[in-house]
Amino acid sequence: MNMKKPLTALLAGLMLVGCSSSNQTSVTDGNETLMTIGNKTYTVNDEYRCLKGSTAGASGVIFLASQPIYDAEVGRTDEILKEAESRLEDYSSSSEDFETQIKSLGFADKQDYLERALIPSVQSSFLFEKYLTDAKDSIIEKYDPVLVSIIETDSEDNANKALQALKDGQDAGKVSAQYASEGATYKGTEQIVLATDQTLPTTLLNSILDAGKEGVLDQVFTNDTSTDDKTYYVANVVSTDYDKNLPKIKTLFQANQTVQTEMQIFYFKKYNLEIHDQAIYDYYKGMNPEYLVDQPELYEKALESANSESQSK
Amino acid sequence: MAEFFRKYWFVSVLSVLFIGVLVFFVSDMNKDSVKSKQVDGKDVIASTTVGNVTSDDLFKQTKSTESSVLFSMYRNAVTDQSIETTDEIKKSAKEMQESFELAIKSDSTGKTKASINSQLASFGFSGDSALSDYCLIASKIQKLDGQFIKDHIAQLTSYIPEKARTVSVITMEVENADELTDEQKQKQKDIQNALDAGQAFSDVAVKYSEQKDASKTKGFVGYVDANSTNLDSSVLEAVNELKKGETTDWISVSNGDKYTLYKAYVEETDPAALLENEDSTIVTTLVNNIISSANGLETLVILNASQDLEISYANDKIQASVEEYMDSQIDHLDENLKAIANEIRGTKDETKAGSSTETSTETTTEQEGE
Repeated sequence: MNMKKPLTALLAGLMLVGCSSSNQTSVTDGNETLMTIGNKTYTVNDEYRCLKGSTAGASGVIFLASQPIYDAEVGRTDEILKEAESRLEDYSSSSEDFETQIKSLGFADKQDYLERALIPSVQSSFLFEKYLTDAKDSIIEKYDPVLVSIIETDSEDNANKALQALKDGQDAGKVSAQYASEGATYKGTEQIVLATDQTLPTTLLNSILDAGKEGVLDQVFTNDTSTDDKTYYVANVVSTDYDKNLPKIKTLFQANQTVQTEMQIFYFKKYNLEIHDQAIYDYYKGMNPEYLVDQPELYEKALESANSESQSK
Repeated sequence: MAEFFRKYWFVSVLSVLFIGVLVFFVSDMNKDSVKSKQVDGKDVIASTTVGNVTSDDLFKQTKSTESSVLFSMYRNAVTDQSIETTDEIKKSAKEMQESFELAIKSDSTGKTKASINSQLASFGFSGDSALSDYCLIASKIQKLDGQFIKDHIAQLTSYIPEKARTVSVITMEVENADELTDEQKQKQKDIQNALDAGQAFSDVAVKYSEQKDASKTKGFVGYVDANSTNLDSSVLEAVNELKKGETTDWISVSNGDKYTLYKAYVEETDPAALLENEDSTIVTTLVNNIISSANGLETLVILNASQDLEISYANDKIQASVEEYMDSQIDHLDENLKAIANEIRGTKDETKAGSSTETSTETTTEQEGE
């Protein structure tokens, strides 16, 4: 049997596949001349590729990819539209130059700004709230949020007295007023503590996270130091109920950029975000591999790297 | 088939191995290649199951940053055509490129490459040759800046760095600056006598200075100004008080358990003369310092150079975008330099009016001919 032809064809095919050029997108009428400077002519595609390649391009793709996801997940309810219009009213009345300012940002007019900036912004806030429920299991697994009140003292004696007072059922605020050290960070206010917390002593944090039920932790904790300058802590686990603690969890996470990114990735994964432009892909691969949700090994590596970075901080 | 493999088993095994390696190589090369997608004839950049982001969508979204990118492209073309690509320029560009490539290579995460590429895009460079193009233009623009600054130094006085000058030093290393040995005192006397006798500072430095490479450098330190850090602050303070041709007394600087004694000489203080220095490092340093202190100056340099080029735009909007960006940059400059810009704009407008008059005259003549 003559194997030469099929073999040659196979090898040629492999070489062609290997040599295939990377995909760069173009815009409609991209070959039209934009400007001619001496002997150099720039086309519309030349401008597009520079804009696309810049950080504005990379962030623009994420912004635009999020829009249909917002519409699918939270829609454009009356509540969302009303909130967006209210923001527009506030911004436009607070500055005489508002329309000039938004035009300089590339918006045609107030309506365009409402449609392309404000409504998506409000949708994003609503989606965030939904995310805290949609991704409850993974949030608990990573962050294990617990509502706690902690009192910080500068003497073991005060810590023991504070502990006894809490056990006797006294209000944490009042106990703190009596026994907390001056300038203490923790003064009995109820707050969400996360498994990723970097400020509490390890023993205290572990006890909070291991607590199966609400109640005062029956010991005095100290900070992790071998010097004489110790700090003492007593703690009351107020609630381990995620759903009950949701409003406070939301307040804590709203300012957390890592959680905001995790939200984006959650929904990009749900809706199978895929990149079809090589330059954009290469940018994300270097700077934000977490967005390449269809490349699990890159995505996992990015999550690991982000987790170990936040732990080392 | 079986007969074939039996007869040529060795070649077959090699072929299978070769094909296997090739398949691995090809799939490895292509693992980071993305699949193209089009919807309704438009290129798609990103897709989800609920919607697509087309290239047109992104183009519209990023238009707000258009004017700086358009100006960057304009600048690059003007610079490229205003300065000849000499061997010196090519060498400088190559060295710059190699330095970037080294940084990219040494970062296995890919972050450096991605960051550099996005910066290049915002500077008007894209595609496979972005880095080499940037390095070439960066080398040329330094020359273009230098030419403009030399030609207009009189109007740039407010941007010349304070106390800009070149200096030379003679040094001595001593154990105790307050108690010199007889030998050290004699050496200082010999140095002073040589200078008093009119010997050139450089010759005295070659003969007496204890700097490692004094015979090569002749004591020449190079360019300094009020903000320099390449000279000890006490020596810098002393030279800043002097005029051209003057010499400091001995200045002692502690370095651990020993002292270095400096006698410094001010070679040149005239900015115009500094810009003509044979040492290109001095010229480059001064030019870069002036450019960085004069916000908008480089835009004026480009406007000036563009006078020699035919420029046309697809529409008024593009032209306005570029020109308004340039105006906003030039607006930061002082009145002397703004006057230069106004003169250039005036000349350009006259040229435009002149050529449209010529065109209408030609048209009228043609019509009369008919």
